[in-house]
Amino acid sequence: MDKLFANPLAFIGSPDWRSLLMALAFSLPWLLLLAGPLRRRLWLWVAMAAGAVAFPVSIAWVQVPVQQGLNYFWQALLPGPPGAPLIYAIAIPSIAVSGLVQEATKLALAVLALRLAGVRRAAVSTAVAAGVATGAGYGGMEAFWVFNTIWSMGWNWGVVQLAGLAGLLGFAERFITVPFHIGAAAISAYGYGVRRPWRFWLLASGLHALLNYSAILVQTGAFSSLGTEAWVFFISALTVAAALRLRSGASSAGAPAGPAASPATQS
Amino acid sequence: MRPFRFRLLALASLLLTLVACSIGGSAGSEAAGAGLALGPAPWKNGDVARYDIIDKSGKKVGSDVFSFSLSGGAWVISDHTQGSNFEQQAQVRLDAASLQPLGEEKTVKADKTNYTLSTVYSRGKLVINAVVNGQKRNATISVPANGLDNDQLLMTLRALQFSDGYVAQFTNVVAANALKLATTVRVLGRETIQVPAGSFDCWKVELDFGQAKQYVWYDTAGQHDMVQYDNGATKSVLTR
Repeated sequence: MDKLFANPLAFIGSPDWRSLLMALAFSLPWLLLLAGPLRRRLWLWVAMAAGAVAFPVSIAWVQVPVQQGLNYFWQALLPGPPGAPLIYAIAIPSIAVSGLVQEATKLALAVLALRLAGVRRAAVSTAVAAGVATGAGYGGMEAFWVFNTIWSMGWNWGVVQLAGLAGLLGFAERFITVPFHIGAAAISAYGYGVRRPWRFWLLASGLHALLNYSAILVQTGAFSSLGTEAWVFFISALTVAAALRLRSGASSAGAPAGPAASPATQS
Repeated sequence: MRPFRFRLLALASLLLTLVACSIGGSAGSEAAGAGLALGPAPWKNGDVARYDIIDKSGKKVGSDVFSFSLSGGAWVISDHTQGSNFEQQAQVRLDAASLQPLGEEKTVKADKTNYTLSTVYSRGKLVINAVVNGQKRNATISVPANGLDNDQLLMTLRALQFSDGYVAQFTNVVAANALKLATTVRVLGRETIQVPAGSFDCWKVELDFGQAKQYVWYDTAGQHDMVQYDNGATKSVLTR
């Protein structure tokens, strides 16, 4: 039986300065672009750092144990490893957990950052900026982990010479998924700003689960690795576009959101 | 107080990140530290070792045959692996004195991939020529002095100077995808292992690739035959 709790350090890997530079390069521009004038506020950067610290902890101590529990449940219920048709259904709860846990973590940190910064009734744009910051930290740290893994495997230009563009997929995927993390967190935080946190958190979690479901599709052979990247790109683009639209609506609305505010009236 | 608290938190986060990176060593992927102490080749010309490959439920899913021949100052380790939808033939050449890799010829036939690989190690470089599904590809990568080829690894470790608690580092070169994994080998202790070939008193050896660990059991006696190998998904067990 595998251990229920994982070590958070396993989700950082062996730190490498190249990973740090790349993770910052993939996440900081989004924060600077989307946070607007709030980027001068220190609390926003603290929120980003908190997002980074929360990534390995939330994965190791929340997501992995719940997914392990689901695995034990299916192992006890099924006589053997599930076949191709069944695995599509069995994977859904586990994939959904990844979205729910990660989006809940980012949202909770954004709310905490706003509270600690003394923003009691956050303007929607301020709430979105907090989400962008925690998303940038969380996604940036995930990228840091993935890059550390790639470097620790001895990635070099010879990999690309042998595998072609497929040798760059690990980097390309992070280039796409860091903005996804930011966009999804911005959507959740927008929900907090318009006093409809549950609805938008579930929306962000659903998008996250859709993105992660590609892992199952590639595992069963339904998707090629290139098809998976196309899927990830599509979901990420959709998420970022939704976040940008909500943000622009929030910016034009300007004033702190009241209980009656809704996405429809904001945009 | 509040701005000060935030500044402190931000500073602490930055420091943590920098410290973590410096601890991590940013040394890339090539292993540093104590290198492998290999003795002379423990096998003899013409030796053959046969293995069954079994899954976690104990079901046989393939077979693996290693054979050894001496040719012009070089050992040639031939490995034929056969699974239900996978066949691999590899011939890796080693310097007979140092057991350092000289090159390899390899053919892999799988469900969606057929490839042939031809490699040459020379003066700290590895030249890789591959044909993947009919497409020619080549690469040249640097190889550190402590580099061992992935396809020689399991058999070459039979030449370890086994002792309880022995630890050494080397770089595992996976020519098929030009990767170089910093690897730590640890002798964890002795264990008695039951396999189809019989019961053996073995050295249990851990191969730590950083992201994953694998375990190999070598006979404590004679030629230190590899008795069992566990890669996490399947086991190879000695059948003779």
